[in-house]
Amino acid sequence: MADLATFDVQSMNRVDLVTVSGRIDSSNAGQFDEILKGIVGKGRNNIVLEMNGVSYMSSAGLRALVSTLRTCKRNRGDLRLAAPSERVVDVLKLAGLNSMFSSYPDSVAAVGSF
Amino acid sequence: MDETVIRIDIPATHQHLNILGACLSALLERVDFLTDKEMLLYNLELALHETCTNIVEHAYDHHNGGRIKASMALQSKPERKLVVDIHDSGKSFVMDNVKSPDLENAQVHGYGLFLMRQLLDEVIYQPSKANNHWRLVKNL
Repeated sequence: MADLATFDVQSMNRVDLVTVSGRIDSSNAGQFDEILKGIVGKGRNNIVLEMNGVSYMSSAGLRALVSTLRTCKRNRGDLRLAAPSERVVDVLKLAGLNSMFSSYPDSVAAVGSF
Repeated sequence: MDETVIRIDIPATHQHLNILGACLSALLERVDFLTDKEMLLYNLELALHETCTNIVEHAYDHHNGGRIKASMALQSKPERKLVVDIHDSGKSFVMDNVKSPDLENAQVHGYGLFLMRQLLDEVIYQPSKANNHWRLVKNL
């Protein structure tokens, strides 16, 4: 049966690092979206999503990613991915969105890119 | 392999949708000689989840009380394939009116049906006033 998603947010000087793991689907994508909206709502528009532990992501998760990316870019920030799992990369490619997100091998490289 | 059919009837809520995926995985685990079984299972679960998410969010508009009835059939003749029939009694829609996402300009909605078409060999939708019917087919 499904593994539950966990979300952890660390605020750094210039970047918020969100570590996500488990399964992101329509049952919890709303919570994921609210966490991301909460960050940009504080005026913090540089976000790194560490997604190495994401075992499953449906289009509901994609919507949260795209919506946050658009808001960050509108506010001259960015949403960047760190170590996205094979599953995340696959669904981004299927949806034709892989080129839209900057991706880094780990969170240190992603945070350092800002 | 003779035809094997599994029937399941669940509440149309997001919290129950992963039951369908688990059921599908258990069914396909019994099939021998599948190429890249792990990826196939993942993709089929995703396609099934997208279909049912569409039902919860659009056919039933998130209202409780709706049901999703699914049957999953493994067919061996004339070709080996998985056929999933899904029924709901919510609002119908015209599939041809659903636009594919504009991949040049990231948009927030419209990925569910797009992913289903990418992952499956056939996606058929027959709207009806009291019984909308999805047929999803994957050649195995």
